[in-house]
Amino acid sequence: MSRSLNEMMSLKGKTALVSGGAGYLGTAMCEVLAELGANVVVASRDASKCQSQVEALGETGREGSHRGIGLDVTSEASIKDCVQMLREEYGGLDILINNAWSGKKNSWASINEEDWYNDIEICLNSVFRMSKQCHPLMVDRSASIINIASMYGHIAPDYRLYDGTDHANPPSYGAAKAGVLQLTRYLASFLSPDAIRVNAISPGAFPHAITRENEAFMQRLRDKAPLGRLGQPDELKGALALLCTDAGSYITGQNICVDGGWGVW
Amino acid sequence: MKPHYRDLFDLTDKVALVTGGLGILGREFCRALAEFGANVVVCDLDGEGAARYAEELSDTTGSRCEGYACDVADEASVIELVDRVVSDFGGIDILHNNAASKSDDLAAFFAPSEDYALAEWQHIMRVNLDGVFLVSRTVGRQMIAQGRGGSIIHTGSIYGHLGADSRIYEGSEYLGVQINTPPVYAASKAGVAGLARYLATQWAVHGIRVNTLVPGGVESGQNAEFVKRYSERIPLRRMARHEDMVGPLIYLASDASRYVTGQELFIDGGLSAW
Repeated sequence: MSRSLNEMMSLKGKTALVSGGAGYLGTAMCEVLAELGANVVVASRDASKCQSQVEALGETGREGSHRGIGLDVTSEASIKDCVQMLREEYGGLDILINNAWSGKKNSWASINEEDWYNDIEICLNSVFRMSKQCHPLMVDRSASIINIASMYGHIAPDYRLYDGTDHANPPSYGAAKAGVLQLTRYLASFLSPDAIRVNAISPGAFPHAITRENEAFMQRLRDKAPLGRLGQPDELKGALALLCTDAGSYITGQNICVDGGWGVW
Repeated sequence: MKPHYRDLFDLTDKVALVTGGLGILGREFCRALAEFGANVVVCDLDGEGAARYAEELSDTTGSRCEGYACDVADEASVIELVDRVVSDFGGIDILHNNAASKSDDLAAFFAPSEDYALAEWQHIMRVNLDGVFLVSRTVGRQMIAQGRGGSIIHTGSIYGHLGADSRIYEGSEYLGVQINTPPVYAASKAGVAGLARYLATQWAVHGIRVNTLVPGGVESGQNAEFVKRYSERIPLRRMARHEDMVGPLIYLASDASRYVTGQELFIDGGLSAW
């Protein structure tokens, strides 16, 4: 008798770190990890937001030893502190979700060198830095790294979508996310001897509340996806559960698009 | 190696076989290959029409062109064609698998997927995919025997790669008939790209390159509403023109792409980029 899917999807006793874990999408990611039984480390620059998130996870009766921690993914020292905490408190790391993102609003016309480097630093260099520092904690324990990329890492935005909005998608974003996708494949190869799987999830349109206030813009986004609607944060839970548990134990180097079909036509 | 880079596209003394040679794109492909110096076999179901068009090409380009009848879905017909080309021209250097089926029954051809008739599916597949297999197999065998390599090009489609946005087909007509894009077309064109990748690796040892040309929608008699809607989806803001396909074909057929194999070359005005 093979293992049941429920057994394969259990993360009981596993430790997961989510960067940007207190954010709009990060919250749903922390929830699903806790639902599956993991000890969840919620990490972001705002330690108090992380703490509230941990309390919220506790209130829903999800067991596991959750913890919030301040983390600046642009700082090697901050990451090292986080790694030390993981080693001391949890003895290692099973799941790393590289989700942190906070780019500047820019168009091709407005972006300057400083903003470009800032975005690449937060979006791409941070994935390198986090993966590099966390790798030693993840060796030989069937660990999994999941990088949150974007559909704009493999297709370009239709610039007409952004006419009359201040939400123009900056050129740095897609370039960084494309880099994340390739780093995903690279690490899938080079970390495979340590039994670490590395995959990506490419969300489509999951606009924040403030962006959703622009209804004309929202309608244009809905029209771009075959499913005809925006994504909800909990719609990332399934892909994440597949990739970070033994349900996906033979999947590595892949990119799962959760985009309502945006990229297929 | 050719003495000048400008000669990289030169096809002088090459023998090129083009199936579907009388089609909308096929005629342009044949003319381009002949203009670049190849001797061209225009192959079509309509042998007489092919012979007439080949004669016209010989007159205008100075290349030796012949038109032969062939049903690419019929094994005996394909074997006979290839034997004849080899006997008349001494070999084959370039094969362009360009034939795709027209349907006699547009209602069946454009039927919704949930109602699609197996007979129509198989009818189209026999030409679009079985035909590409049969001609590739028979010509590939000949190219291997010749021992001087070759270039095989399949005509694919953007719909072998992307799904169709059915909204642009509302109120759209082609030559007065309500149109869409059928599921069998998408599946067959994805199939030819897969076959090209497979053959590219298997026949690489023989110096045979195999690539797929991937056209986006070509303007050819659709009504204005369709052209407008389609064009709005394209970064370059227009449908493709016949002549847009010619440069990419010559590139794939010639030494200009001598280190390129197993690829899909998209000529889609940027549709797949966003």
